[in-house]
Amino acid sequence: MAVRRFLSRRWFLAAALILLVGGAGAASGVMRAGTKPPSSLALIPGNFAALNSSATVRPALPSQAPGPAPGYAPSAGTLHALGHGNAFAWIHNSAVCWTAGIAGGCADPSPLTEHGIDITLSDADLSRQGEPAQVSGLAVDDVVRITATLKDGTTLSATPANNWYEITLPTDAATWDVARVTAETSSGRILSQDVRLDAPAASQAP
Amino acid sequence: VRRFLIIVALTGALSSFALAVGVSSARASCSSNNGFVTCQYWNASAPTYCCNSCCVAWNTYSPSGYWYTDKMWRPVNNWASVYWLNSTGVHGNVSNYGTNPFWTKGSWGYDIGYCENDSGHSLSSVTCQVYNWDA
Repeated sequence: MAVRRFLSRRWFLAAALILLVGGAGAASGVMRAGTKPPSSLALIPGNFAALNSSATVRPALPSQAPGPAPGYAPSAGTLHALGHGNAFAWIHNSAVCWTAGIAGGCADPSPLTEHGIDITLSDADLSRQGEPAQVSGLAVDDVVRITATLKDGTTLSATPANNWYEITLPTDAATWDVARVTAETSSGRILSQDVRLDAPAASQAP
Repeated sequence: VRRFLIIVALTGALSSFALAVGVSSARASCSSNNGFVTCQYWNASAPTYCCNSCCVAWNTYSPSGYWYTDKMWRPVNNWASVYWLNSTGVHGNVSNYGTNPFWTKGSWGYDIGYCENDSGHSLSSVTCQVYNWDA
């Protein structure tokens, strides 16, 4: 009986020791991971002044704007107007969701990825006809200038307003004519993203 | 003590199971309901055109023949596009790099909804959904 009690006590002590050491290890790992601060170039809510300003709050999307996907809808009082009212954004599950014209979505919420900007290329009608195509997207507070370079070497630039930028392409350009988009930060750092879009194969159409 | 050890073991096992479930990704498929088709395509081998036959969304599938929403999921930081097109060409398109999911919405007439992997490499998973309403 005494031996059993002794063994039980030993088992208990061993288990407690394992839990203590394991817990301390896990805690120190979490603390180490947590010591790296989020990047000022990440597409996270804290890097968008317009999302933290009462001046940009809007009660609802304009009636003509397509609504966000039901699973990603803004809750009351969280909708903000970006740009010159051309885009709207809100926070959903720690991600910045947005809608502008025919496009929308939720930006990468990774706190360490240095995006600077999100890049969307869009055309609301026939390619190279009608309304011109656009390069647009979210821009964090630290980004001061965005430049799009076309395959023919043409460059077009824009300054973000309320965390949103828009670059209108020439009327005869398609979105797949864009070769690169760069963002310049306030310190002069350049973030560059190559664009390699393929025009959809006409043979795929019905 | 035995009970205590059993509880510790069970807690560990349950935590591992929860983690495994949390990181697993959903498979996708096409389904038909009330005359329209919602297509989700599981792209294991990453062909260039992820919605080729699965997401053809012409009047075969829609009572009205019009689509409104084309939505795409793929791993972020990969170029991808959603298109509306028919035999006359592209009627509208959106390409994106760092937003997931992303979508295009609008009415352009009889079209197919099209999703494209523009990343230049295989993607582990791509899901595309086409709806004839604001979804």
